[in-house]
Amino acid sequence: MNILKDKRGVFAILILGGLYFMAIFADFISPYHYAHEERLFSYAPPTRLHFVDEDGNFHIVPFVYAYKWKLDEYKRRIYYEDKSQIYKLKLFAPGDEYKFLGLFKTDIHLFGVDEPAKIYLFGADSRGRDLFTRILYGARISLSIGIIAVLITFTLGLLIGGISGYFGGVVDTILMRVVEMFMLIPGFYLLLALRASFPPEIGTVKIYFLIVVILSFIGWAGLARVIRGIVLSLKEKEYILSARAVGCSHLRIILKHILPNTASYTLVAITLSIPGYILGESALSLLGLGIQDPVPSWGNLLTDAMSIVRIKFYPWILIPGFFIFLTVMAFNMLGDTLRDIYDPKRRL
Amino acid sequence: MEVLAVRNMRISLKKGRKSVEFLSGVNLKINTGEIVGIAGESGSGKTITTLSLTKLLPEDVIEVRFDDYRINGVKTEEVQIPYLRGRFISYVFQDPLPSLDPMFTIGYQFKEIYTSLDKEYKEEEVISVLDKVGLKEANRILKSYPHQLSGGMAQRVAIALALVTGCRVLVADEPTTALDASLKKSILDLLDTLRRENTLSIFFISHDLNQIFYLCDYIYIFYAGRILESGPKNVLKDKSLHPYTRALLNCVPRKGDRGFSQIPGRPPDIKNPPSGCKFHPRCEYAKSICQEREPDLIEVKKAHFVRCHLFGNGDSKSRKTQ
Repeated sequence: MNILKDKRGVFAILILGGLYFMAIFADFISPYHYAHEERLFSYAPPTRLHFVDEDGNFHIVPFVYAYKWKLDEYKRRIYYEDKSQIYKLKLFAPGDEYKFLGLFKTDIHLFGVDEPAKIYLFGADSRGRDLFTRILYGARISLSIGIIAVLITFTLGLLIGGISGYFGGVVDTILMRVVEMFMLIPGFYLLLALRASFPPEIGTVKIYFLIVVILSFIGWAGLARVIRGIVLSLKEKEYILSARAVGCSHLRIILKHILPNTASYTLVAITLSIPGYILGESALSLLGLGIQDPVPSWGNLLTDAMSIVRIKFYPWILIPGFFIFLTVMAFNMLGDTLRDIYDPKRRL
Repeated sequence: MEVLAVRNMRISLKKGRKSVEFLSGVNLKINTGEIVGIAGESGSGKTITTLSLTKLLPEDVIEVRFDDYRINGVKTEEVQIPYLRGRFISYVFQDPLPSLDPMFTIGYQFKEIYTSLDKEYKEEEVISVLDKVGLKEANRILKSYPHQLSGGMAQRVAIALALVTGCRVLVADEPTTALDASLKKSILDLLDTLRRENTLSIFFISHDLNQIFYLCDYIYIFYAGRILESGPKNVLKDKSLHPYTRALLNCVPRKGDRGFSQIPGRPPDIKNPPSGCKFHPRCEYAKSICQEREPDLIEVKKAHFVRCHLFGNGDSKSRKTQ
């Protein structure tokens, strides 16, 4: 694998690998369940991990103090640590029950602390839910939605663009007019309009698939257009004629010779458009049209961060945005690396 | 033995409901182990003719018709013609590099040919074919990508790709044009060896009459979608009759010959050809009949055909075509 020789590629793969790993094992890695509420700890700041206690003793296992709070003169909660007792961080600690990978029920989490202490690595949201937990669960939706939407988009776009460009004539004219119908409507309004045409209160799974379908529905047209253009130029190449001259069928030529030659474009387009879908889902969820609370996605986690006052007092609610940024950047880097590798002219 | 014979091939360009016939009356014949040359200026229909032998041109734009299409003397139905691709007729194109798919290794492209012909991939067969076309390092070549090959190697690979199909007829469409002078001769000699050792029949298309005379047994002269003259090599070289053939021969620089001429005028627009004989506007012997009626292809001597009023004797109907 040449990709391992490229520092950018390795970096991107490590980041993405880490993120996807955390998404898959979200229920195990996270110390709580995503809907676990502690209203007493609304907007609790990130928990500090300590190694040295009040008496100056060093602990190899980090520990935390329990939260306490008092009200300041504006009746705002000020959290502070109750240093009277230490709570050691426990590995494989029991906590909220969940079904591990959907296989068996368990309550073992990767780490946790005893009550009444809390471990909020990234702080808590307005209802006292652990942001770290919710980001992990949110990653499941945000990271998978991009990939599934891209798969649908690209299957549609490549096939329709390929057929349109390859056969030309009437087929091309009809398909391209259909494509234009989709491209006529500005993407985000189409997104909102489509979402609005479905009932707002439906199950999370349904909403999830609805978003995937809506995102792919918007995305394939532009891609089909570009692919058609590439195919138009590719089909004039002599190797296509050569392939036909040894008796390849039309479908085989499209699938095995034309589409692979669009790969350097397609790969970059795929990796560059996954972030687009992630952002699309985030935008929908941010506006309250996507995944509904309490189920988290990176988009609806950011809903809290829409108020500048909250950002001022509780800056940690921006962390989901940082994860979006990290994912988008990693996908872009991966796209660039793949393009360099997949371009056969570079393999000298 | 006659491998492939086509009588009265006609090709027309469909434009909406109209269709313009720009090539007609083309009779081609090739025997086992024979190299047949097809010469003519650019746009005279050489490539279109050979591509149409397997109907490789887009059928929604170009219509190909035959009076008779015989393979090994057996009449072939028109619907079967596309199935001849690769199985019976293979092609080698002018520019070797673009005719190899840049995304895949050479080895993969050999496999691809076997799959598209529903045959089982045999590595030894590929290696022996590569050896035959003069590529010794088969293993390295099978692993490399097209852009890693030089022009001459790529053309040999292209020929090898055409050969593994097991075809009986090879169409070499200007296979030397993109190569440098020293490689040209080695490719020509390779084609010559192939027809001797494999009894392969080759259609050799070229602008270069010197190459054609060097290699071919029988020669067709194309002009504006017509065969103007055809005959065995020696006949055309020394005893050609048609004014166009002779004008073409005068354009060829020869040893000891000071200067060479050029045919006045320009080749006709193939979609809007002149009336009568297609060559008459440029012909120095043109008579009034040349403008009015197109001459038939007449056998003046054995295997020597000419399409010209100067040699028709008016008795054209009784002695039509091959």
